[in-house]
Order: sequence, then C-alpha cells, then structure tokens
Amino acid sequence: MSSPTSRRSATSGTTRAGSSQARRYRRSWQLPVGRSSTRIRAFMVVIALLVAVCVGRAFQLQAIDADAFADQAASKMQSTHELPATRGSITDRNGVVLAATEPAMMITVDADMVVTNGADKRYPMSEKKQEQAKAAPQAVATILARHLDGRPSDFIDILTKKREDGSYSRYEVVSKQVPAATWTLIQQDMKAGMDGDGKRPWYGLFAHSDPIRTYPNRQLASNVLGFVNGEGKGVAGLEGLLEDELDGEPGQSIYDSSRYGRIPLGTNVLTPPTDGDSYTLTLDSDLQWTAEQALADGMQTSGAKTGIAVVMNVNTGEVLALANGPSFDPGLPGAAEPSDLGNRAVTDAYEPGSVQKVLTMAALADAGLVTPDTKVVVPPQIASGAGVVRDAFSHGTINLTARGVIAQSSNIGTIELTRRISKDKLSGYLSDFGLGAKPNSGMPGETSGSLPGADMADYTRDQISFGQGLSVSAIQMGAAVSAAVNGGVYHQPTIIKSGTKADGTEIPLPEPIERRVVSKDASAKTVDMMEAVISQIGDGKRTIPGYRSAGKSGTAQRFDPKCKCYNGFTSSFVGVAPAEDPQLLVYVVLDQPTNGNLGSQLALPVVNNILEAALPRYNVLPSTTSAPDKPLTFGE
Amino acid sequence: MSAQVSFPTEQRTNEGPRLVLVPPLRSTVSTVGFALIVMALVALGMGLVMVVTTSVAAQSRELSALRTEATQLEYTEAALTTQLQNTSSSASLALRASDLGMVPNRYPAFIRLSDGAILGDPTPVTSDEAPYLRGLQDASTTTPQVRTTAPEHSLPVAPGADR
Repeated sequence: MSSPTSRRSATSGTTRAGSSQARRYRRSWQLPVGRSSTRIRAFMVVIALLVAVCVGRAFQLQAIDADAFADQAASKMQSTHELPATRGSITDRNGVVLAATEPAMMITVDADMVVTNGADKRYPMSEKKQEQAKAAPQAVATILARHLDGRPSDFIDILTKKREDGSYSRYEVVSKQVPAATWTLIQQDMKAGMDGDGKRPWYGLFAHSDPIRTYPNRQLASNVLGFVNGEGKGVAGLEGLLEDELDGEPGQSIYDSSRYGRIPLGTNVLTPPTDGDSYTLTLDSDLQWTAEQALADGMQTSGAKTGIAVVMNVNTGEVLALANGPSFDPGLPGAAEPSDLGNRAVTDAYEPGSVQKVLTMAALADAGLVTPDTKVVVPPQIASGAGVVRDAFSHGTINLTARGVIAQSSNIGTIELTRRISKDKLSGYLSDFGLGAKPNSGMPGETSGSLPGADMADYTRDQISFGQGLSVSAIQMGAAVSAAVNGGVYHQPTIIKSGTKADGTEIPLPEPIERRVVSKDASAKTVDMMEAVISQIGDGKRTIPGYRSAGKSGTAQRFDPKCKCYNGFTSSFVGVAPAEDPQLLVYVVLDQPTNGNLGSQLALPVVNNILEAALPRYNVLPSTTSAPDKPLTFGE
Repeated sequence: MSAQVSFPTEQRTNEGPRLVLVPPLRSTVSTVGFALIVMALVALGMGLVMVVTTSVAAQSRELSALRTEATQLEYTEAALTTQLQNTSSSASLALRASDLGMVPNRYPAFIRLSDGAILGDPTPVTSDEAPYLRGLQDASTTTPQVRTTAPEHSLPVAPGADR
C-alpha cells in the first residue's frame, strides 16, 4: 500500500478527476486500504484475531487441559526425596543397646566424571583443567584410602573402570555401609580439592542412604536378636519376628527446585518418616555375657557340640540371660555355620533326663502321694513294659527316702513313686507345667516338644517319670522348674519387657499367662528334695559361696532322629538359689559332650559359675542359715 | 428525583437555605507532582519487594546451610554414639577391667545400711577366680576335672539314668 506504484496511482487519480479514463480507473476494483478507517478496522480485526487465538489458547490451557499441563509443569519443577525411617532399637532391661541403626552411605563413583574431573565435554578442556583431570583419580583414591582404611591403589581400579565398549563406567559401587560421618569427611576433602582451598574441587563420588545395623555387643545374645540381611530387613531372631514393627514407615519431601537449588516459597511438603518401634528385652546384657562365657568354658571343658544356658527370674518368668553355643556375630552372619544362627533354647526339643524328676516329684507332692521323707524300697532293677530299668549306679535293694531318690537320682525309686499317680493326672500336671505346648515366650521358632497324653502306656508313664519318652525345649524346662520351686505358680517365660513407638507411646504387650500348678507346700517339698542334691551329695563341692542352693542333674541318652536311635548324651543341670526362697534359676544343657556325660560334673560347674555372678548382681542377700542335713535313706 | 423537581420554589425557600453547587475540588498537587508521588510509591514498592525477595533467598540459603550442618552433626553424634556403645559393651569393659588387674569376687558380702551389719563372709580373692571371664586361656586350675567315662560305659545304663 505504501509502495511507490500505489502512491503514483493515487496522485494520477486526483489530477484527472472527472475524465472518463479516471472514472474508468475509479470503477476498477481495488482494496479501499487507503482510508484510515479501513486500516483501523483491518488492524482491529487482526488484533481481535490475535486476542481470540490467545484467549482460546488460554482457555485451553486453563480450562480444558489445565490439570495435565499443571502436572507437567509441576513434574518438571518438583523433586521428590524419600526420607528413610530409622529402624527401631533393641535394648536390654537396663537400657544397654543390643541392636541399633547408624546412618550410613553406599558410596558410588562415576568413573567418567572422575577422569575428567567433571569437565563439560562439549567444550575443549583448558590446559589447567587437563592437568587437574589427570591428577583426579589418584587424588580421589587417596581421599578414599584415608577414610576407608585402605591404600590408594585399592581404589584406583574402580575409579578408572571402563565398560566393555571402552568408555568409562558411569556407576560403580566403591563401598557399602560407610558411616555417614565418614562420608561427610570424604565430602569435605573432595570439596577442598586440588589446592585444599575449595577453588578446584574433585568430582565423581556420590552416596545414598545405606544404614548399618549395629550390634555394639557383637555376638552377645545374637541367637535371640537374630540379624538383618543386606537390604536391612530382619530375617532371623527378634529382628525377623518383629520386622514389621522395627522397620517403620519412610517419609517424603516434595519441593520445587531449579538448577540453582530449592525455590524459596515454592512447594515444600514434608511428610516426616515414622521411625520403627523400639523394644526393651528382659535380658541383662552383663549377666548374658557372663552366662555366655561360662557356657563357652563349660563346652570347652566337656567337649560338647552345642550348649544352652538359661537364667530366669523364677517369680516372674523373665528370661534374664539366654546363651547359645556356638553362637555367631550378627554383623557377619554369613561367616557362621547355618545351624548356629538359630536359637536352640527355643527351637530344639530333647529328652530332658533326670531334671524331669523335679516335675514328677512336685506333681506327686501336690497330689499328697509323696513327701521328702516318704520311704521307698528300691530294688536293683524294675520291670517296665517288655524290659527292665536300672539305675545308673549298680546296687542291690536299698532303702531311700523320696529325698534320697532325688539326691541319688534313682530311676527305679522314681518309677515306684510315680506308679502311685494316675496317668491322666500325671499328664495334666506336666501339661500345666507348660510341657507339650509352645511357651509363647516371644521368640520365634518355638517348639512345643512332645508330651504323652492320658492314654499313654504304662511303660511310657515309667519313662516320662525320669525324663525319657517326652521332649522339651530348654526354655520350657526352665519355666516348668521355676513353677515347681517358686511356690507352685507357672509364669509364662517372657523375653520382651516393653515396647515403645517412635512417638513415645507404649506398645501394649500380651499379659503373660500365670497359673497355679502345685501348692506352696508341694513346691517347698520339691525344693527340700533338690537341696539335698547340692548339700548332701558330692562332699560339699556342689555348693556356691554364701548361698544355699538347690538343683537337679540330668544325663539323658540323646535321641538321634537320623538313625531313630539313642546316640550320645545330653548333660544338663538346673540350679535354683537361694534354697530358702528361690529367686533365680539357671539351667544349662550340654549336648553330645565328649569328656564325660554326667550333668552333675559337666553342667553343674557352669550353673554354679553363673549363679555366683547372678545372685549378688540381683541383690540377693547371702543365706543366713546352713543347709539342713536330712535323711536320704532309712533303716529296716 | 422527578417528584422533588416539581416542588414549588417558595416552599423550598421556607424549608431551609438554598442549595448551591459544590465548587470542584482544587487539586493541591500538580500533575507532575502526582506523577512523581506515584513513581516514588512504585519505586518504594519495588524496593521493598526486592528487599523481601533477597531476604527470603538469603534466609533460604541459611536454612539450607543450617539443615546440612544439623544433618552432619547428627551423623557425627551417631558415629560417636556407636563408638561409645562399643566401648561400654560388657566384653570391652570386662577386658579393660582384667587389664587393670581386677578379678571377680565370688564371695558375696553386703553392708546393711540401717545398722552397718555385714551380711555374708567377705573374702579376698586369690587372683585365679573365674579365668573364663578374664580372657585367660588356661581354665584348668579352677574348673573341676572331668572324670573319664569308663565306669558308666562299662555298666548297662538305663536311659535317662544319672548320678
């Protein structure tokens, strides 16, 4: 419109006004763009179209696809970061930490970034940067060696690792479970860089959360605690059983960020993680350590393949120590024999042998059939089923009191007395003592053992009276003998004292079962018989300084499920003290000893060593009276 | 409004003073002055926004730095806690006590505070007590000698038999 041609046309139209040519020219069709009003209208139309397009697009963005676009924008800006929950801790009854979680990192390397020291590959590197990149692998290796206990040469290979195609690797794991504090120091050295002033930092190391489960007491109570796998999930012991509770719920942090970091006043949603529940056990770590050392000593002396020691508070059922041998380091479970990773005290059932006589006598005493002074004429052998049963010591016909039967551990005398009670009553008593049922102690993998019912054969009754033909776990037997000596009340054994949620609220625990099994009088009579085992047998070598104690040995032939025959022995001893008012029980089981087989010689010293440490520790005052000397035999 | 316009003039005069038009307000500020005030206000607003934005950004950086510092301190605390737990474990303490020459005393004795009475029989140790608790290898001096199994094996032993 503003071209010279059109301007010329307009001029000629004006000068030749009125002529026919001009009229013809005027009649010819042309755009009326020369008029201002037309131009304005055209401009307005264009503007209106533009505005309409913009409004339409705005409408589309705001009204039709608003959510999709908003999500797209948010996803470009928003970062989501998971906040891991801290796994709950496990402590002993005095607050000593048995298992805890320490923040740690898995350190990874981008080898490509190390060898270029993070230089932008789109541009050629300056001489200075090339010099820096050349020095980077050795420098980063030196930093790692300084903090991760090693030599720089140990790390060079991984820092310069190449892929199959010859390019440098972008991801290699340098080290797992490095304490977070150590990672902080590594980061500081990386930032300090080449000159130590932070102007030329080193690049290429990264880390993400990889917490360590720490067991500060190492293998202490490891068979109870269990362990976690490489992913931090509990797979054995209490760690496995309480996995869901200990684990916690991870949180999330959602925030807007740009290449310069977080955007102030942008989206910032923090869902804090819920840390796992923490548990306090009934175990006493110092006593546990003593029990483990004493058991290890006993196993070494006896040449036993495995061993168990249980220490219980007879009046509450609390397990104060529970030692297994051989044990394992929960930080290195892979280094141990798989068979040592469990908790034999609750998982393994065995024939208890003569320790069972304690329960038999308690039942007979409660039924009013036996007192410690009940007279029994004990023949050299006694017929039972198709065979005969003898005592471990050769004798003719002897006269023993019931106390003497226990002190001498006479199988024949026990059978004679047990034949006075009906089979259903005997089975009922033993069932009430907790035999034949899982004790529900709070530990995983419990065995219920086996207990013949009321319909048992007569020879079975004879057998179970002295601890054969039934099986128990050590924890079952500990709880049962506790009931027999504590005044007659069975307390369900417990290992978990309390639980606390991350917010401090207490976790309700099931109330331990307790029930009266025998009378107080029957219990006292049982302790009377057991005290004779310590004080009247063994020339005083079975006693411990300062306290009267009571006990019973067990030397059972060991049933081997492989050959379904008896093979080897299980030596055991249960001790309670003080005899005048039993407070603590120690039960030690040594399986397949090779240096002898008598519970009174192999397991008793272990029991006494533990009792000597445990009684003063629990402020049990020394006995003020001497053990009575009561008749074990009677005259004609 | 139209009803009011039709009122007679005398009547209105009698009712009160005559209404006159309010003279237009005279602006006390010139146009240039007004423009300057507006510009000043805008400049002030912009300045305040800048101050607030800068302050928020600075505080955000400070918050971020403090968060990092808090995390690092937590890490240090956790490492020290683990170190303390390891050092105070039963085994470490027992070993340290043994190194210091301490020996477990197997003879219990208590002092009753109410009357000063001594309960038990205090007995000094002879330094060979509980070697198994002190990391000593030779336990043979204190643990009972184990008898050979010959007598038991030569005798037909009943299952569960025991002495």
